[in-house]
Amino acid sequence: MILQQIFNGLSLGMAYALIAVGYSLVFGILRLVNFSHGAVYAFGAHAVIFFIGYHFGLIPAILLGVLLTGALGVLIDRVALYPLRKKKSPGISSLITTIGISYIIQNLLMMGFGSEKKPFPKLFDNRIVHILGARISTMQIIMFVTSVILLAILTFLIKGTKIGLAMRAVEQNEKNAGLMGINTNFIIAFTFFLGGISAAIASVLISGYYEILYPTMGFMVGLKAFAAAVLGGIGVLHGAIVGGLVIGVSEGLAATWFGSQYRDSVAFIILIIVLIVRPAGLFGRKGIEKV
Amino acid sequence: MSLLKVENLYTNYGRITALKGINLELQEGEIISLIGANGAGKSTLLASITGTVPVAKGKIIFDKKDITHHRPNDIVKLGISLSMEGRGVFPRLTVEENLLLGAYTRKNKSEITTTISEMYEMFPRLAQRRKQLAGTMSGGEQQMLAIARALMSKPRLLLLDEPSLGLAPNLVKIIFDMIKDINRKGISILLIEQNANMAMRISNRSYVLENGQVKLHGHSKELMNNKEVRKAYLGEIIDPAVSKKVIQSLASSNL
Repeated sequence: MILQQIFNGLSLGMAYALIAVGYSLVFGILRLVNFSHGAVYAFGAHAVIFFIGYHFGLIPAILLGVLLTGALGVLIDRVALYPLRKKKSPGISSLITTIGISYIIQNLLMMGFGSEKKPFPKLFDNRIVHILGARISTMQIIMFVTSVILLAILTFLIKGTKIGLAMRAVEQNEKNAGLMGINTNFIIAFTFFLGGISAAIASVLISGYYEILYPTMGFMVGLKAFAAAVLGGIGVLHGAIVGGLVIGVSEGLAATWFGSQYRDSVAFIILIIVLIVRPAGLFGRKGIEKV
Repeated sequence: MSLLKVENLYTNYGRITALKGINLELQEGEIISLIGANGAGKSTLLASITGTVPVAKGKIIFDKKDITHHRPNDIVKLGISLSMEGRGVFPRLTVEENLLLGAYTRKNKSEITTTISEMYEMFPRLAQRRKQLAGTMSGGEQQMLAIARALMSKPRLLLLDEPSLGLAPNLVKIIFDMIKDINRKGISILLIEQNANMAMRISNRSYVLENGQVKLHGHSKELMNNKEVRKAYLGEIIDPAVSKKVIQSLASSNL
């Protein structure tokens, strides 16, 4: 039973990690907690069923929905956050703006799709595999493997490519990065794009797993992914991954030990304990705040 | 031919007008030094040229192009590169990654590799530390990295902001020799320095800034003999009676 919940937690945790990366990347570059990220996540699954509804076929619908969500990320930055940066407004203005945007997106989804819970189509013919007595569905395996591959691609992109080097430079010092000839606004927009597409993919995976979607689905998942990012050390990529796994597994174990109605609070109890022991998170750097 | 021309430039820094009508000209191949006290407007002038601070009035012309309102990344592409004061390197990137970022605007990978090996030849210390994080190096090494990184974009004009700041005297001499070498390779240089003595010695011409205005300018050799400049910037005590007193008081204090 414990093994079962660990497997459940690992697959869900990997998907949390994908969302957490979005918080972490944006925080790294702008020192901003992007509270609209949960709503962007919800938008992802809705965009995909929108395209499925127009008979695009499953794979094209997922691709289009994911890209559209990436574009939404860029749009949020361009329309609402870039003007604030340009006017050198305090960080708190951007923060409250992202909270506002999160509700705007949620309400738009309610207007377009209705606020009730809707079934999300089965992505695969779900079969059960038995590993060491635990029952694992193909959907869980797909969720785990897809997330691992995506996180590996993201890691390579950031550590091994020119645009990734530029992202790390902007993260360390935006002004000096501009003096290197880097178009910093493009890099910031690109970061929002990456955050958007990884949230959308996580959204498809998690909706496919629970076979359900609704406009406010991003609220709790968004908070948990944010907790995962902070737990791992916000701004650190592998921190977000480990954080996601810790939150996912502890949630699974909590469901077995205390009953599934308490699973949400356990994730946050773990977060609080970790932060008391290591205030910067598991892999966080001290003094990350910009002067 | 004039490579850089600054015409009647006004720049605000918050509510303060930091530059009040600066005129400056740099010929291709020249070294020009900008000297002046803290807050005279030297760094603001560099920031205006590189496009990091918006210009309020006036013009900056580079190679016959008006670059007054260009963005920093476009200005780098045109051939102006800034070596930042002291710790302007990216501390959590390696030496090599810092150099690669200096060449961000260039496309040809093999040419970039060639330039990197040229830099390692010029600065052997950096070659030894290519995989080290820049923030863990000494001040002098970081300064060398800042200069090498600025050269990576193959600039026609190199702006140097306080290259000797915080360095030991023997290192200062090494850095200044390098600046002369760089200039011999055909790169024009605009140099900001607190160490006015050194700056004027290696530059063709100098501009003295005071309160956001050019107070004096001319050939460095002539300015070095200017009484006012010697008194204000070269640390010379003009009155022999005063200097005698200082020496006596030092002698009697048993230091």
